[in-house]
Amino acid sequence: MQRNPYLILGVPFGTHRDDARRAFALAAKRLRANSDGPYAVEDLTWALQEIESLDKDPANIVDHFRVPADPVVFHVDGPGVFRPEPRCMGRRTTASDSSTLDRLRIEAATEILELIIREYSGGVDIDLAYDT
Amino acid sequence: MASSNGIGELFVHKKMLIKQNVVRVNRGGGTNRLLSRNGKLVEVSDGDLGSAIGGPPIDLPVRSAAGGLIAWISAIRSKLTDENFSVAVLASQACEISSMDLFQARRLGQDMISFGTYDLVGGLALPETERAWLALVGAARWGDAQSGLSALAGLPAASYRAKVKLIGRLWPWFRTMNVSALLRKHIAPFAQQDPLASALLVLLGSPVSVETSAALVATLANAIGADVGETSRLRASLRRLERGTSPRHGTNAGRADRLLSTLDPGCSSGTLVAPDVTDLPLTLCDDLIELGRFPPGLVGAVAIESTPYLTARTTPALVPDVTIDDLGFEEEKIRRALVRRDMATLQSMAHHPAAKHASALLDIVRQRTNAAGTDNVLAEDRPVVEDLLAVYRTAESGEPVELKLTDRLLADVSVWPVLHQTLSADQLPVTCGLRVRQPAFAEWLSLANARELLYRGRWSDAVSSARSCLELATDEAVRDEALNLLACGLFHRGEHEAAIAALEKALEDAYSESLLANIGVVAADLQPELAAKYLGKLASEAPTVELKLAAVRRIITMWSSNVTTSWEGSASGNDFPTVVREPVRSLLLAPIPLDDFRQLIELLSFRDTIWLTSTDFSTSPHAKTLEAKFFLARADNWGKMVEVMASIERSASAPAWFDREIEDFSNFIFNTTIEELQNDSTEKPGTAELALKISDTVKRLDPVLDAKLLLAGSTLLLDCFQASGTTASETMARRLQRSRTLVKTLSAEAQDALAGMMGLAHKKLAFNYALASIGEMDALIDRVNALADRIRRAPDVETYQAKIRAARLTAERAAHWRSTIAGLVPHVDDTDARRVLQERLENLRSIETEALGMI
Repeated sequence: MQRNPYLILGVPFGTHRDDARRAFALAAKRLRANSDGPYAVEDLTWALQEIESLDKDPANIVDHFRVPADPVVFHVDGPGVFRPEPRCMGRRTTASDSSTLDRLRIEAATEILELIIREYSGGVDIDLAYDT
Repeated sequence: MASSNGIGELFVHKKMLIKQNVVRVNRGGGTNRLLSRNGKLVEVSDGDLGSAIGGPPIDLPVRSAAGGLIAWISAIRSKLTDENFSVAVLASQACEISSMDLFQARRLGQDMISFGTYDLVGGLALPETERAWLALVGAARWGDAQSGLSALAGLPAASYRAKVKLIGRLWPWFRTMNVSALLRKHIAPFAQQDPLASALLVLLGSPVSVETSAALVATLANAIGADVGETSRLRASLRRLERGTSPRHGTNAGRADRLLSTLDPGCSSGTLVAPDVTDLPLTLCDDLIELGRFPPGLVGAVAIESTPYLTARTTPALVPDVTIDDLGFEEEKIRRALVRRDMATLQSMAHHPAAKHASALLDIVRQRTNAAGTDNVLAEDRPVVEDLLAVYRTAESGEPVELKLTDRLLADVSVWPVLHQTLSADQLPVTCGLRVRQPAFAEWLSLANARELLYRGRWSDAVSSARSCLELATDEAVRDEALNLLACGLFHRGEHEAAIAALEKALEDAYSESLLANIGVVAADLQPELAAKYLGKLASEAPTVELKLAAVRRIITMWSSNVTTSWEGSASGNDFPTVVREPVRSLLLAPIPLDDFRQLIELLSFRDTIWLTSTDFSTSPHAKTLEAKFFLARADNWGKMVEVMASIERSASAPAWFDREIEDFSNFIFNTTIEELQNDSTEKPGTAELALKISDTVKRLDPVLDAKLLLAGSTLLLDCFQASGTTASETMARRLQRSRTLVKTLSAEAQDALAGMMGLAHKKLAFNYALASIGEMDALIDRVNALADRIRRAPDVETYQAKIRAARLTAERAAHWRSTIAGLVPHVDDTDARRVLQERLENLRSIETEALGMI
């Protein structure tokens, strides 16, 4: 059976080398406190070296058993005390004054004038030529 | 319809023998003026004219006496008739008819407008401004803005008030043209009397107040008879122009109108679209956000510098961390720090009440006590925190924590990972009570504990926990992961078959590439073919080429390590099994790196030659590479492969693998040649030819290997000749000559090593020639004797000369043999062979002398 550096260090498959170093320190500390585990410090050192020397994306490796196979199922969705929902940032501008709205009203009036002229100027009666 | 005076009617006019259609363009005093197609006018009396055969092709009422001619012009221009009368003559005749009567001229102008030929009004006998006016009416009627502008320029600015309406008619075109000054000049004089003129001035950019603009809209709407009733579409828009009103329905006129209605809290309408908010001031965006009427999807439509701010205002979770800092959005920064357990960030923001709250939570989690106090924890969160602390206290005392896991605590799912991270699996076991009371939490905790126990190397405990999860879980993804963890534990306990079974169950229905990879690991030793089957599936379904390649490489490795086992699809262990063949084939045409392509095609060139040589490689990115050419040739036959080897010059650069292949294959052929020299084999001629082909054509061959192949191949071929009684050709003699030259360039050590082989080759050739020359000499002697007799009895000079030529040829043949054998003798060490050759030389010399004597 091929040795699995991720299981030996006790980290999820594909863990980045920086996180693996931290895990190594924790595992070594655990080992000092309790030597009943299945691994010796040499195993931990080997595992860390394996992960550090990996020159490709672990997602493309098929040599080691992947734990977990599906990390998503361990995520628990939903807000709570330790994961509050994001709240929208407060307003940083002052409320619009009347001049801003007046400009908008004038702009709207212009739009309506345009609309009226377009829709209601209609066709031209030929008799208009001598209506004056 | 022609006018009742008959102007515009069509006739048939006969002149000499030619009949042609003509149109009557004038009449009077018993005479008719007719226009023919060639543009000529002829005068014909009423008596000679005959009956009309038709009128103008456009059958519309006309107002003027010459209106029929205008109808003809319109028809000709619109190609509604094949009668191609001159438009200029028709127009001039029409104007001539109306020239004496102002009433008729004006009526003709109206006809021109009706028929869209208002460009002809210039020919009317009317004042210039009146002609310009008629042209403007025509342009407005027909939507011709460019002609309208020209006509407008010909009118006085302060008169013709009715032109304002015509400008309004042409406004949709004018608004896109740069003609504001001209329009303003003609509109401004009427602004006091005509609301349309006032409105047009506003549209032309004249400053206006809110009140004036609103009043103007209302006035204009009334003036032109627009429907502004309570339920009309204009009514709501008009109301929005008045401050403090709240219309609850109505169609929006445009962007500003839509914004006004959206900003109105009392208005239920106002769905904004992206162009509405482009360039919208940030204050108005904020107004809309506060009203809940700024869809997050519109953020991208606002000016890019406002995007981060508006994203933070609408969808803060989407704001990148760096932007959170740029915006100074502390609440979100603190929230994220809490979620990430980032105490350093929280400490750096200790002044903020939310940071104090978050720090207090993290302190509690870290210390698993309330030593730091809960004063800073927000009141709304304290009940959950108190429950959590109770769990910690119980765990610390070594008592079971199950009863402390209150429903209130576990209802907050954000607490689950906290509990799992801060308490060990032993402190937080999944008990029967917990499974009954909180099955969702128990299921999740079993799964999380199983993973954690695997990380601790506690395989049996992990197996138990995974099984506990499987008893509760119904979701396929969760069950698959539980089976995966179970398999891992079983695998490490040495229960490989059970582990394989668990993974095969997980692979039913939906599955991931990780599960496929895992069964490849677990089954590799016990059931390599099963592992290869799933890895083959991974190779075909993996999301990346790299993963596909990794799977295929592993399959090949497993098969290479288990070739003695009989795999499905192979007759014996050494054949190419289906589970290996198919993934390799499928990947060969994919865009894989060249080195991997070479390794795969090399394998197939040995194992799957029929498929390889019959497959279309055009879709492969490596179809034209040396790798493809070389290994396809090898799959086809070795002769072709040698030709590819020979295609690269010695001086040209070539990949290292190519030279290695040449060397390996040449050594293989050399060894085979030596083996076959020592044994009886039907393959001898082929092997010898291949060895000599390599030596003759491959320029990149190492000189020592070249000499070895040359000598061994020649010897084997001569061996074959000896068996079949074939005489070696001169090429063979030249090859041995080349071998002598080649060997002289080698090191002394190499020369010594090759000396024996060189001697054997020459000896074989000597014997071949010696044997061959026996028959040859008998034939030559017979020929010499026969020639001598015939020459003596030659009946005439021609026959005599022919015999002499034959004698010369015979002498030359003997001389050639003698020369060839003489060149060989110094290189033959064997005494018997040398003696036989010397005898042959003597005999040949005699024959040559005899033949020459006849000449």
